Amino acid sequence: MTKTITIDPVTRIEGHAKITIVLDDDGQVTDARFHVNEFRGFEKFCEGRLMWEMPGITSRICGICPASHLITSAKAGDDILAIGIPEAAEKLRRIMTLGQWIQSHALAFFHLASPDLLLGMDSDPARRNIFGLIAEKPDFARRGIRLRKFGQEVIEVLGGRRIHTPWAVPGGVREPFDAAGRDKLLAWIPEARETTRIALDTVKAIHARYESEIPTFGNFHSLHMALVGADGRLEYYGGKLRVRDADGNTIADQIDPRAYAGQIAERTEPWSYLKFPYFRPLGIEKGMYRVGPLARLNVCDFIETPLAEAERVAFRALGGGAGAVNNSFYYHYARLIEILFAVEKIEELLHDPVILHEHVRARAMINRDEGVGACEAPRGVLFHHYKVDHDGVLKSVDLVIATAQNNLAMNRAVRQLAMNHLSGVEITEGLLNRLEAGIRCFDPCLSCSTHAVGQMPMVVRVVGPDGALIAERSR
Amino acid sequence: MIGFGNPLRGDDGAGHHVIAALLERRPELACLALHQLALDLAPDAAGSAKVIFVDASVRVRSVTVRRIEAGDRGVASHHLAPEAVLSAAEVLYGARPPAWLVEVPAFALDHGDTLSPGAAAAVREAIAQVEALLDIGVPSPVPA
Repeated sequence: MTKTITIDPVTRIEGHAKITIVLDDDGQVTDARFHVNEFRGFEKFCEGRLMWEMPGITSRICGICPASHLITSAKAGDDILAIGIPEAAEKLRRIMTLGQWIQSHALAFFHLASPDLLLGMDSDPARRNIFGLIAEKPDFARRGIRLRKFGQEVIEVLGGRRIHTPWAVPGGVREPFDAAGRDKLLAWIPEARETTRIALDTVKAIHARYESEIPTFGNFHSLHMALVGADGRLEYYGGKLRVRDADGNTIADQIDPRAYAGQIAERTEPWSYLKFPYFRPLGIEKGMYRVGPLARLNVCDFIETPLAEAERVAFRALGGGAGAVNNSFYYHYARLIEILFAVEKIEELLHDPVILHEHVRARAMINRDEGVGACEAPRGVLFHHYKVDHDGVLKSVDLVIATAQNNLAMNRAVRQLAMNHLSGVEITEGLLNRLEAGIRCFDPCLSCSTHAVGQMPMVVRVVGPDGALIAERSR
Repeated sequence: MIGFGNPLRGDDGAGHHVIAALLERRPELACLALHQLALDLAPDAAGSAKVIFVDASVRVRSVTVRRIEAGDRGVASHHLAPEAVLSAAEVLYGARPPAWLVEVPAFALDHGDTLSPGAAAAVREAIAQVEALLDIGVPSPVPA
């Protein structure tokens, strides 16, 4: 008789989800599912709104990565206006995108993942959280809090507030930047760089500590998708799509993001509100792909800043030769490398006098009946696709969110961890936490990806082949 | 002053309304209007002589002001209780600023950026109570 184990809710992620593990008659894991049980429906209720409103509306999808939605939406608006935006506006948008990476990645690593990694997967769950980390490693925690604050400061100084700023608009940004704001941000750079270096040293030490577990911690072959520059550099704001396979072979390159629908298909399942995107040319069986920090570092040829590039080379060596790094555990490492890049690049952009130019917004009427914006959000490539009438009223909206694009991979990671850590039908603390930690590697944002307001607690259930509940544990 | 809540869900944005009014009356105040509380507020709290949190609540029927202390360190996601922010300020920065939570009754939480008549009246009352708190001397720290 099949049995099922359910973990509900999954903690320390953004949104609400549960995990179900199905066992066969012999007690072996036959399947594991990461269910997302919240729903928001942004795509539908945006219909009928004006295209101009979309940056402000879609930035409300998320309190963690609002700037990514804001800028991607503004880019879709640029496309509908059929205009290029002023150079200053693009560079300012780039700075905000990188500030978004820093604050989101710092939150994911220091606040959400570090308690597992530094206090131990089997440590007391009551203390295995950011406050336990604060008690054990206060300087590390202080640094993490400050690093995130820097990312938020970037967004606030540019946009006027930390979250849900209406700053980016179709055609550019609302306000020119000023020297005072620039200098305020520049003052943060040395501390941000030092903190990131400390975090990178810490994560490398963690790799040694988890040497025996890492090989089965979401380690599997998949495709990797991200935006890259024309020369193959790591991109975060512009660029075109590239897809590489698990061996590091490029199988699609320089795909215009406007053609995303030809590359990405989505399957729905009755047991989750989160869709299951896959790489359309290979079908769902072979088309599972990952996005986000791991994928970006696998897909790009180089990083344009020196410190981050040196780390990228070390990171890619984990894949052995030309192969991609296919272990989801290394998302954490990749995330920190991206913070380092963001700090370096922000410093470079802040020294560019163009960012202080007064011309930051191009104005035009509706010149296309549809537009696509793409941007690398912290969790991966994000697409906004709008169709409008001649007045700019939205006829349809398609939002392809990074977390959803990792859905197949997250389910694969959960299955692998369940197979390696489930013994019998008992839901041990160690199993519970490893399943959660496996999900946290991807830093999913379910509020974004289901377009939900919710908390993120956790439930694991064991169910039999007839669907009967065998065991359940929650916290 | 930290007002928090969702200003697009009717009365849930009461904290934002209180902050906006106080900024007009007392521009020298360090004020934040936020959707939710997070750990990065710890340095701000630690550096303040007093901390006053203003939140909407469906649990109260009139404006409620109470002294709060560090505590409630549970954290499951990306947001915290006011007591947890104070706890982080204490553990990370050794600061124990006196703190209050002002709860404003919420009657309508539907989509929209306006307050219900009941919440609008409560916001006026909350502003008065917060000003009274601001005008009192800094009380002694809560004993450790």
